[in-house]
Amino acid sequence: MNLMRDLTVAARLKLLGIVIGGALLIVGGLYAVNSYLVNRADESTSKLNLFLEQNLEFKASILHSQVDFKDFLSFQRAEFVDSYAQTMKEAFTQLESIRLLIPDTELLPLLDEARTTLEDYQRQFMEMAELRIDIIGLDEKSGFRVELREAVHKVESKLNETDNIQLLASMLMLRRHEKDFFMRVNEDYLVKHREEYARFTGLLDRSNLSATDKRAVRKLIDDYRTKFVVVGGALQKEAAQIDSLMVTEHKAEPIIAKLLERSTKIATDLLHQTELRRTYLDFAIIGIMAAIAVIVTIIGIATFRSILNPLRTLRDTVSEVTYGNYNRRSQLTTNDELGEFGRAFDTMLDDRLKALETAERENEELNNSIIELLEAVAQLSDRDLTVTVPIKEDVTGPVADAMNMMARETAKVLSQINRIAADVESVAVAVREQGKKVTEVAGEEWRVITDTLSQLNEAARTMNDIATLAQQCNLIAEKASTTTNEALETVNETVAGMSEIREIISETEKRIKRLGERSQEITGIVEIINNIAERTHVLALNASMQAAVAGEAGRGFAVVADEVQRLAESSRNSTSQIASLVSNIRTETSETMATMNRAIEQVIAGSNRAEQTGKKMQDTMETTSELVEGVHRIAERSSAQAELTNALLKQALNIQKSTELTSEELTEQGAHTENLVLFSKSLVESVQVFKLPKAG
Amino acid sequence: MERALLPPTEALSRRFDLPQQPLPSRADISQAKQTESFHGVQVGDLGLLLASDKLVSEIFETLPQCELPNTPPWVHAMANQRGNIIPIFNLAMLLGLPRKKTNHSYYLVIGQNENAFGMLLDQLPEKVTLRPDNRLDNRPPIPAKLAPFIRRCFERDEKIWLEWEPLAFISSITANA
Repeated sequence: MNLMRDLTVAARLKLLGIVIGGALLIVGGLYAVNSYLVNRADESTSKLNLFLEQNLEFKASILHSQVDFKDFLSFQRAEFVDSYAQTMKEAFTQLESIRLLIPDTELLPLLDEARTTLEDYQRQFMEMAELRIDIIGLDEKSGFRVELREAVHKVESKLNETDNIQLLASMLMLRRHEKDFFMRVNEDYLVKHREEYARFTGLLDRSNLSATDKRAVRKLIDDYRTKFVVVGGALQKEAAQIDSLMVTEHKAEPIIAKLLERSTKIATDLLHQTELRRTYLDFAIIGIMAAIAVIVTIIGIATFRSILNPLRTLRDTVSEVTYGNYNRRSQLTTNDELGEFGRAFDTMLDDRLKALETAERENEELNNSIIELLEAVAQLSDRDLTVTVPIKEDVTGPVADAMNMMARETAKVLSQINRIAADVESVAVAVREQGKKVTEVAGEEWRVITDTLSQLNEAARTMNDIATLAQQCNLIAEKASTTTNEALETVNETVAGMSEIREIISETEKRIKRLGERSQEITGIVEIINNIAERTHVLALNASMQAAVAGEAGRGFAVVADEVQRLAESSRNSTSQIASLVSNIRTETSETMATMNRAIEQVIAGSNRAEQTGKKMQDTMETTSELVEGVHRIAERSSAQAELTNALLKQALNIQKSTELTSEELTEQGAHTENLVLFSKSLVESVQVFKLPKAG
Repeated sequence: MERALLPPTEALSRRFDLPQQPLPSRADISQAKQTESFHGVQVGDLGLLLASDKLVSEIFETLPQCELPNTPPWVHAMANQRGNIIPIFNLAMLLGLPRKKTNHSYYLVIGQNENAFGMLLDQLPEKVTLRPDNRLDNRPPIPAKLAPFIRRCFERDEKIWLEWEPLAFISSITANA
């Protein structure tokens, strides 16, 4: 601490900065070292993990190869040999990887031993597989067994030709032993096969077959036997190789297990050590950082106190001096900047105390001068402008002189005010009179405006009525236009109806004409009937005459003839009536046709008149449209006029209000003018209260 | 209008009531027996009765005919009646009677063979039945040429009918001609 007292504040702050910088550097170095060590540990750990992984994969490959070996034995398929070879290749590759990653050299002999055993294992398996595939065959359709089958078939077909039961039976026995041997690979079946072969040859020799057949059978059976022996030998060899493979496998298993166990143990130990080393390193770094923090804190606190304590002393000193303890001093003894500042502050306080005493004395003297000034001012406040203030040597001297001058000047000004106030009074009276006149004129103007307004109001109402009327006229005109349209449509329909009537009448005329023609035909027919009736009448008369000549004999006939004559007369009468009726019909038809023609003429005339009416209606409609448009324009313009009149009315109202306002303002102005007269009077009275020096 | 049909049983069992007409009286029967029938011919305004039970007569509407030159005007033509050549007379003209204006004329042939002759008619003959009370006691004015050949005169329905002898009249005429 004593060392700190002798150092300046700047030196102390520098020292603190250096310490903090050093601490930061140490922390950075520790961080770099830690990162390096952690990276190394991570690399080592990942390598060990890879080593363990390779071990596990190697173990899996070995197990997979064993499974392939068993599958080949069980299912006898060539694909398992390929799979085995592939698996073993992967196992050797993994073994090489293990050798590269090995953490401890003590594992190398074990690794070499495992490799040698595995190579033996692979070689033996491949030999066995080759034997099985090439010689024995995977099934009865491959390998040497095919040739054996062919030999069997040859023997059997030959024996079938010879038709020797004993030989056939013996052949079947041979095949049974062959199957048994293939199934079980037992030496006993080989012996039985050899014995049966001997029996077969014996039977063959003793058989009654021809010498050629015997030779042929002998040759075929020998061939079969030779092939059986080859296949049998191969099977035995394969069994021996399988046994050997099993032995090798059993031998390899503990070696590989030991290798894996040792590898795992070594790798686990190394991983554990790496973890332990990392923990120690962490603790060491934390300890160093804690020590640096403690040192920096101690130096920081010392620096802080060495600056803060003098500052607190200075603050207390200033506080007490502020509250009136002028004898308090900081009395700092340190050699730094704060000590110098404290000593200067104490000196400044001593100087200020002396200056304060001098000022108090001068203040007393000034007080007396001011009392004198106040007395003079009291006289002035009693409106006595004749007073004169005594002039001193001190600072109040100029003030007294100034007050004397102010009193004189004020007196002068008041005299002038007095005169001006009298003038103002006279002018105010004149203004009041003028204001009264203006007010009267404004009242007259207001009345005129009110009359104008009422007239404008009436005009606006009339204009609005006109606008409303114009709107109604517009509606009525539109209605008239619509009605005219409808009337035009009706007239057009009437024209169309007239045309239809004309067509109907024409049709009727044609029909009546046809009726006339029919009547003409009837007349012809009636004439024919009349002619017939007349001729009948003539005939009847002749008959009657002849009957009369015949005398009594013709009496009956005469009756008939008379009856016929009467009928003929009736017919003639009827035809006459018909003829007259038809004649009447024709006459009436002619009259009807004439009437029809007249009707057609009238219809045509009516149509023409209707068309003319339609044209007139069209003209009327166009005129009505123009009328509607005109009325519409009138309505629009009258509306605009009404709006204009309303606007004018508003303007007039505004003028009336303005006039009212002007009148009120003028009234107010009159009041103010009254006030002005009063105020000017009171101003004269107020100024007259001052006691002024005599003029001149 | 449709008439409702009777069921067959009712129709068969129905009674037929004859109309109750009064029987003709004896007087009616005797009066009927006294009537005479003629064929009446109108010549001009004269009504001539023809005793058709005694004379063979026949009416023709047309006849093939031929006018004869150098004959009196009342000889109308010579006609062929089924191969028999007969003269046709215009009696109205002969008797100086006015003829009715008609569109059609008929020929009445009276008699047989060489005695037969024809006469022009303006209208067809009619059957005339006359009672005894229709007979006129006094003769009405008759054309002179005809008068000798009128046997009886009748009046019925305010019309004068003259019973004449045509063959004798024609014989007289032709003899005079």
